Amino acid sequence: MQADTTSGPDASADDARSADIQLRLELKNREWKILRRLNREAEENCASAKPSEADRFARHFANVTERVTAARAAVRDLTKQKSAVAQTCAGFVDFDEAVGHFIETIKRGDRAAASDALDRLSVSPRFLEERLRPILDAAKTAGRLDLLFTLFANAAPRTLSRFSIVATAAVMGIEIERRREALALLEVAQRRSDTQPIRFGTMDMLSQLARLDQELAERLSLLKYNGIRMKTESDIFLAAKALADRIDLDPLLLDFLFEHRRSRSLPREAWEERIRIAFCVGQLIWDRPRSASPAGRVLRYGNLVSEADRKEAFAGIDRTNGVLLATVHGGTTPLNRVLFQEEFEEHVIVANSTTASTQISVKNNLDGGLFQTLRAMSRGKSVLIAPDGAHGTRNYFGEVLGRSIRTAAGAAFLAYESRCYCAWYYTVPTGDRFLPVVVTAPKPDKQESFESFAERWLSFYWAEFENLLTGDPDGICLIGRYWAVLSYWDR
Amino acid sequence: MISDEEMRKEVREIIVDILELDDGSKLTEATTASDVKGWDSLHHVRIMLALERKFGFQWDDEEVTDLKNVGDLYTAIHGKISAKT
Repeated sequence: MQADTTSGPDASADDARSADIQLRLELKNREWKILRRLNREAEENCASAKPSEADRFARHFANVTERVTAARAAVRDLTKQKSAVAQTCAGFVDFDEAVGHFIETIKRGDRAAASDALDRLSVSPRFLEERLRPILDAAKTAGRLDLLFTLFANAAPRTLSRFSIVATAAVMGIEIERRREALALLEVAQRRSDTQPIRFGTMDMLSQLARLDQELAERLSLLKYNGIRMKTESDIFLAAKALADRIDLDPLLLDFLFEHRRSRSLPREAWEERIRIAFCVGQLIWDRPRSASPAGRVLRYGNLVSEADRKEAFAGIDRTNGVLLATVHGGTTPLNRVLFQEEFEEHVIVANSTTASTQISVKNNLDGGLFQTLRAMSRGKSVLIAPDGAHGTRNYFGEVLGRSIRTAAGAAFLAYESRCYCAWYYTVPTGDRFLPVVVTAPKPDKQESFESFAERWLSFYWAEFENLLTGDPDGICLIGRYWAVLSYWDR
Repeated sequence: MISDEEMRKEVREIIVDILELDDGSKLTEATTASDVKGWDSLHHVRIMLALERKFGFQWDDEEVTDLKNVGDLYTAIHGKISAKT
């Protein structure tokens, strides 16, 4: 017999259960839709694959097909569960449908309807993590950015409980020259956060905003890290602990990672708490919030890596013919870079943009970027690259925890062509310090084809990543993309 | 010095080999990378490196990205070979 879920002492528990099911349903539905598209692409690629690609494409197609079926079944199951719980809880909405409706009201310039639509939309648990890009794009195209900003500036307080929304609105306000109102909106959100800390999600790092507007970035930093104070770098773990209950992570991915953990000693709650702390460590490393440090000093975390650990990690590297270190876009990426730069005087870093002469950009210039990197290697420079990025060919796939992931083969290509020493490299938080890890990668055999080597090299790379994901939760310190990557990463 | 016709033949053979094409007859001067299935960034760099090795010169960084089509490639290689001799 089902409990009466519309009132009484169990109502709040039912509300929470209903919210949880709703969020899972929305996320799973999104995953299913993306996988369907991927499956169509994979089928087309299979049909037109070159002989040397045929096996790879076929394996990927089979893997995606299996995941589409599983996602569909999960959507059906969650839909049934949703029907079984209270329908009166908190007015949940279908996120995609609600976004579509909101965009329509914006396009029409119907302020009252748009205001209602925004209010409804902000109830959706998924609104927390979305970057609102489709809404912004639609408003820009329709010439309605002013209206959109006005809606945010006058939104109900609950809408300002989410960092992504406040940040998006503030950036928009400044871009359309309504700075005063944008700063006023931030003040409202700041006051609210004194009693109810703002919630943030997997994509809410400040690093991009600082480039846009320093003052805005600092105010957003104050908002995000309200009440957080660190005296020294070593306080990062305590600060992360204090932040841990302010973040929202994808519950489906948490389920997935928990299921695949290697050590079974921790119960779910304790395991998840440590993942949350690790996640916040990553946010603090990326954001380096001045507002949380003494006298606005920018904290750097290199001193949390001991000399002995550093020496041990880099000792096994053969520097005779150059070095290629392959890392992932993780929570400790800035720290990885610093350690790498300190260890290898002559170096280049393959990045999305070029803010220093030692960086080579592959964004929008893959051919040139790869070529320049190879040239730099031939001149004796060591290279740091994160080949899990969204760039590259469509022809290679990695497998992580049984999920086939389209992946770039640029790093494998560099390793193959240069024949240099190559390794997996990452810096792992261990709960009270950071530990650099270097694992030697395979080298190409004398007569080995590139195709064969790329498969072998990528298998190694993703196996190391899988090792990280299934290991100690303190070390699962990843940035936003990885909270989605295993579900529906396609590029 | 290699003739222009020989150079073009060698270039087509390298492209056919790396991209696993049936033959090079469809590679005209107007052909761009996007016209050929599989001619992505990685393969582009592999082709450029193979051409360096074959003809014994080095590309400048910009040249690798400035080429618009196969005709540009022929012209650039011709220039490189001429400069060498």
